[in-house]
Amino acid sequence: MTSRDRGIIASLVRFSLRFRGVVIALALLTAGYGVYTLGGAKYDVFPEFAPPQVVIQTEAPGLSPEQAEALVTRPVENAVNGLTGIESLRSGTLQGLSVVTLTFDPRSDVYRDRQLVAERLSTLAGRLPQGVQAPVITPLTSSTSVVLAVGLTSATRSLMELRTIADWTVRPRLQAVPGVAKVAVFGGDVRQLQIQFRPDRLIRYGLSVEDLLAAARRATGVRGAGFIDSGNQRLILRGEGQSLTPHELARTVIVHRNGANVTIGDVAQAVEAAEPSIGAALIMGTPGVQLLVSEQYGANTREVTDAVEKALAEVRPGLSSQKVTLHGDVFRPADFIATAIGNVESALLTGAVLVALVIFLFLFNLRTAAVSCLAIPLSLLAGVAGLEHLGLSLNTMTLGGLAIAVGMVVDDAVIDVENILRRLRENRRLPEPLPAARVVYDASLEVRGAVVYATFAMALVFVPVLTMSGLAGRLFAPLGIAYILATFASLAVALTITPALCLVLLGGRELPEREPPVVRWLKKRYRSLLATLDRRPRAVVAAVALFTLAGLAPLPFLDAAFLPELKEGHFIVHMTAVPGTSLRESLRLGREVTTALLKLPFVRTVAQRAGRAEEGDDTLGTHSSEFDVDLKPMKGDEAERARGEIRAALDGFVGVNFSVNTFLTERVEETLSGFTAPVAVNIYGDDLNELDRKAREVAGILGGMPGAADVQVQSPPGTPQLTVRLRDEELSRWGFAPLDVLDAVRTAYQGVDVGETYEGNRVFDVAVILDAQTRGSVARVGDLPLQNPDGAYVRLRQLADIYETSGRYAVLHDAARRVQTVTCNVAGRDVNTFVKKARKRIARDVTFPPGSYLEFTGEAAAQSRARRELLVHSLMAGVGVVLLLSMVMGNARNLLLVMANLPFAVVGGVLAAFMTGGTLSIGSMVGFVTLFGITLRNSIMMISHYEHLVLVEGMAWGRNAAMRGASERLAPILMTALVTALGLLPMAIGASAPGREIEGPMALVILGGLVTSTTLNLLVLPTLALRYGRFQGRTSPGPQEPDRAEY
Amino acid sequence: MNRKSLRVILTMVILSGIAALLVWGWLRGDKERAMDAGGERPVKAPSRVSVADGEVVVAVDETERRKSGIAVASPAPLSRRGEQRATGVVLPLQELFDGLNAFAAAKAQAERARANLSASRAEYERLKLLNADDRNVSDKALQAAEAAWRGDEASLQAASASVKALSGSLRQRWGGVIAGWVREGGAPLERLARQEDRLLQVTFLPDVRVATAPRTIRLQTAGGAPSIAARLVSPAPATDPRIQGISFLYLAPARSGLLPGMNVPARLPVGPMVQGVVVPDAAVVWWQGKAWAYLEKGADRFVRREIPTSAPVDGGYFTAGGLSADDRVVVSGAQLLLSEEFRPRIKGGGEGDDD
Repeated sequence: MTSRDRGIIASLVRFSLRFRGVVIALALLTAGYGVYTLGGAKYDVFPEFAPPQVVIQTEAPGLSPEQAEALVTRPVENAVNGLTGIESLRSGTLQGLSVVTLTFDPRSDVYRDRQLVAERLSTLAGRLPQGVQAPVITPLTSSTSVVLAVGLTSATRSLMELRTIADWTVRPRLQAVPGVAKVAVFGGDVRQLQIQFRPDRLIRYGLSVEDLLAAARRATGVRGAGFIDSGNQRLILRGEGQSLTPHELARTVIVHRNGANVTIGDVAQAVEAAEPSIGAALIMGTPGVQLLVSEQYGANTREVTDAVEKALAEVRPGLSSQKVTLHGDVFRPADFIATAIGNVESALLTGAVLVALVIFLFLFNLRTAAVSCLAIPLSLLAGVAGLEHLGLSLNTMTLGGLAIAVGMVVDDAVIDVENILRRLRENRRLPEPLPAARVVYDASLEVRGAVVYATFAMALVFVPVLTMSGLAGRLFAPLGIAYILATFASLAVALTITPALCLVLLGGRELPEREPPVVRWLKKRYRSLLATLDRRPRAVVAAVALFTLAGLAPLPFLDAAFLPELKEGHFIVHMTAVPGTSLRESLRLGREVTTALLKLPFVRTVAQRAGRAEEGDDTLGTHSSEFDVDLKPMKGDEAERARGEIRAALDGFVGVNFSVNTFLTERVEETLSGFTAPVAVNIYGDDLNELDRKAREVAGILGGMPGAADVQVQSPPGTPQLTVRLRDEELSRWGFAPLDVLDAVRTAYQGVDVGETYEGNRVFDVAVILDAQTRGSVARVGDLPLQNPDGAYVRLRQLADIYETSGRYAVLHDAARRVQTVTCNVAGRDVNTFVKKARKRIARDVTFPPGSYLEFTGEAAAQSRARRELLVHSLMAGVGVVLLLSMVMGNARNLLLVMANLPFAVVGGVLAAFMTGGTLSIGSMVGFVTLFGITLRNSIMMISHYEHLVLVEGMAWGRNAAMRGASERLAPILMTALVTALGLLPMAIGASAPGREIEGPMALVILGGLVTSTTLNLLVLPTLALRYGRFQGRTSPGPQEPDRAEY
Repeated sequence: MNRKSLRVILTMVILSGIAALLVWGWLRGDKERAMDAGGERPVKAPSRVSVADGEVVVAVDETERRKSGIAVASPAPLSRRGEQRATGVVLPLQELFDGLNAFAAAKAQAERARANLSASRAEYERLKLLNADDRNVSDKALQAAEAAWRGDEASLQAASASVKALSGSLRQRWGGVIAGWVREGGAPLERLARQEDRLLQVTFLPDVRVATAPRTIRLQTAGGAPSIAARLVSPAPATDPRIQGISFLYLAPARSGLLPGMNVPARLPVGPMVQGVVVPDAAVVWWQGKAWAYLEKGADRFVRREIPTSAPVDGGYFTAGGLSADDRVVVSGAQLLLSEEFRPRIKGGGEGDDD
């Protein structure tokens, strides 16, 4: 047994050849398991790309942003700040709502993070002001969150009835669906039993608001009554008779005087009315209710969508009988998932078919082709099983990784089969042929070194992709994992099943004596071409160097982009007016916008959400709206134009800003900086006014730069506000405590919940509030009568200065510091250059007071971080690859020869990127990484074959050896290149199809690089090897001049 | 042509082919990029705001107006006086009529005393003459008559003082006018006594200053019935302790359903009659602490005008001067115009000097 026969790999091959039946059975089993996991696999567009995040929402009804910031947000932030693993702590405080968002270390367990936050929040109990609800950790959702948006409209039912149906019929049903995390309800009127008091009536009967509140509380409270134990039985005591209807409430006695009753009905109107609303919805221009269904973290989007739709189908008949129309398809992300996955799958399949064709053409033998092609399903299925085992879903990224790997996985097998076939053929020609098993074994081991090392080198090359941090890492690492899993699976196949099958199928059979016609034809031409080139080595080297330089020249002109535009067939249109715009006005304009959008022939549905919903993902004010614009299925070109046409349709609306984005792009961008923009400038400081001023200066500078678009100050001041400032001396003169007055104001304008009524299992709040007419008048605020302890009435105006001011719409914090953010899109220009210039100009033109400073975040920052990391990790991986190769190559010269291929590969990639749009996305970067792997592998194959010829077969290194080695390697290298290229071709050709937006450019880069690197590998490498290579026994090292006589 | 030159030509052709391909690809990419940029560019937001004659003008053409649903209307003309709200209570009159009775009794008492006095004085005078004429009557009788006279004189004084005191107390309780009615007697009192009229005490809220009370006010009775007029009687001598404001007494017809003890809201016109217009609520936007409305100025141009909010009326704000019934006010989409005007605030631009 030689030393070669002693390694693990040799044992593995030996084992496979000896127990070929077992190996084949095992292969079938693996394939079967792969198919089984495929059936139950999770499908999604993207991997979970959001880091572990905990969102704490606290409803603080009636509090202004500044009040809520000080009284709610600060305590919540203080409570949770300092938890282990926090990466960022951001908050936004709006009127009546505080939202604190914590982002944790991506490696941490989100459930543990939530537990820690919950523990800290429990310490807050009783420390928040009265009327503020307990802080709530919003349900854990997946990165994309929304699985379905559903609308309810009705021609006959009121908005209140619709909302009641949504809240009490549809929502509970949907929330019970496995995988649904929450259902946020937008719009409609939340039914409330309101006791709307009339101030003049209170005066008339000498009552105060407190009297009314007390009476209302007494009328609606629910009390348990216990039970009675009799000798034999236990009887439950139940008290009934509290007021449940407006009529009953109206009859409730407030006071009894001189034998006469003053009832609630005397001083107030008890009616069913709408709770003061925070959001509204339009569906196809009709006011209605929208339900936004969010899925749980890690749920299977397609399954959840199906289950939700099934649940909707159950409630639909009930709804139609109530004359309510259910719009089940306002927004359905699963559509895009299906299209995207379908497109990637079809690319994968087409690639596989093309690969099989090429293999057959090159091997020209059904059996050998079959053996080679079998590696594709086996490796891919093993890859899928591995992904499932790692808990990764099947998404465009992982499938993309598999699609790129299609060409590669067949490679190992092809190299093996091709070599076995050649050796078997040679064996036949021997006077005393060796046993087939021996030949197969030898032939397998002959290429194993190259195959194994090349695969490991490839895996090493992918390390930078796997270790990318942040969003880029979370998006692309699964692609790398899928790719590596598949290639390792293919290595295993090449070492076990391929030899076994070769022995079974080729061992004792007739083999075609001659080489396949294609190969013969190619070899003939290749030899003559090689000979021609060989005569002019200097010219060739010079031409190659020149071409490389020329090819790298466009590199600086390439734009960088984080994510390409996704063609989701759906757009989210944001509409923003100045803060303070009412819901009614937002809806009114929304109707006009809907009409304009529906005029576009390709728009299927339009639905608007204005403001926010309780527990909603987005915390928008009433001046902001989101439109779901769903498109009809379209061809690629139309889809490209759709966005432009939508923008054109939005031209000419007065007083509002629009931005048009796709859902996923927006989610990804939100994850990056918390804002949906590529560039976000954070300005920190203590003084809100100062921050506003600086933000406006920064916005001015950004707005004046070429390429800047949609420059927005995130929380602009200027929300109209009415301030009630109490006057001390007046309060003491009339005997009021400040809180009494503020309570009365809150009761009048925000309403106070005094109890609940129920109707069946539906529970509705009972609230005391000022009558609608008085409440709607700004001028009447001062008229609010207040009764002092002596029973005298005083108007609010006497106790307080009431004046209109402008306040803030929101107060933002980052890491518990006040921050003002300016966001900006960049159109028609590279984001990084833009940021660089902006940085310089702001540093020059804006001076910050002490304690204030500025920071750039957003997509651009993430991108440059990703690139920096990619660079560092690439360098490290590069060193690793060099070390690995040095083990294979034995000497530095050959190592350099192998590496010489890399720049040439880059040239092809750059040219391909340049020709197809000139944008370098993270996807294309990953493409380069893959390209390096493939190129290295091919050159390793060539050089190691030379080593084999010299060291094993004992040829003298010279022109003949170089020619023979090259022509023997022509078929496998060309085949490898072709199968990889063809495997990727469908992906590259349909680069604009939905789902291929990210892998398309990647495939293009790989294709371009393959063309140049294969050309170099085949045409130039032999010449270079002849001139600079050194092939000799490792035992006799020493400088040796290349054989110049050959030239 | 030898093979070499053929090869050179072939190489040239291939190279130029590749170059052409590259250029084509770049141009195509450029077109795509341009299209992308078109897709990415912000939705066109032309500057619609300009400053003319010191006024900020928002220009919105007909198409945009229709698209955004901006509508204008003329404000409704209205002539009105200032109005104050007050609370009236229908007074129970038992006390008044008790007082009236007491006053009448006291007055009768006084009359009686006066009659007695004149009788006793005459008696004394006569007895005095007789006594002087040779003592036709005894000194004793004269002294008795004198005592009776002096006694009656004292009685009259007492009765008169009582009348005066009662009258004063009535004035204190019901005011001079009603006290006068009591003193003089008269139709109003009779109508009150016959329950044809009701007496109300109408009290303004404490912060209201009223120089002279309006002669008539309107009372709002329950259930949306038409308001009824009440005529001024006099300032009330005391305020309603619950309300602590200036208070007046008014008379209102009883057939309107007013009953003693009822509380009735009242509206009192104050100040002179003014011609003006009502700016509807839908036209009013609040900004920087003030109320504004947008006026159409010429074709497609809108300017913002401040609206005084001191005179709110049902459905809007009454304004005299500044606006006329011929003006065209934006009644739908005013907030959009405001939003347009301050778009730089949300859209960069740095025009922070707008307030």
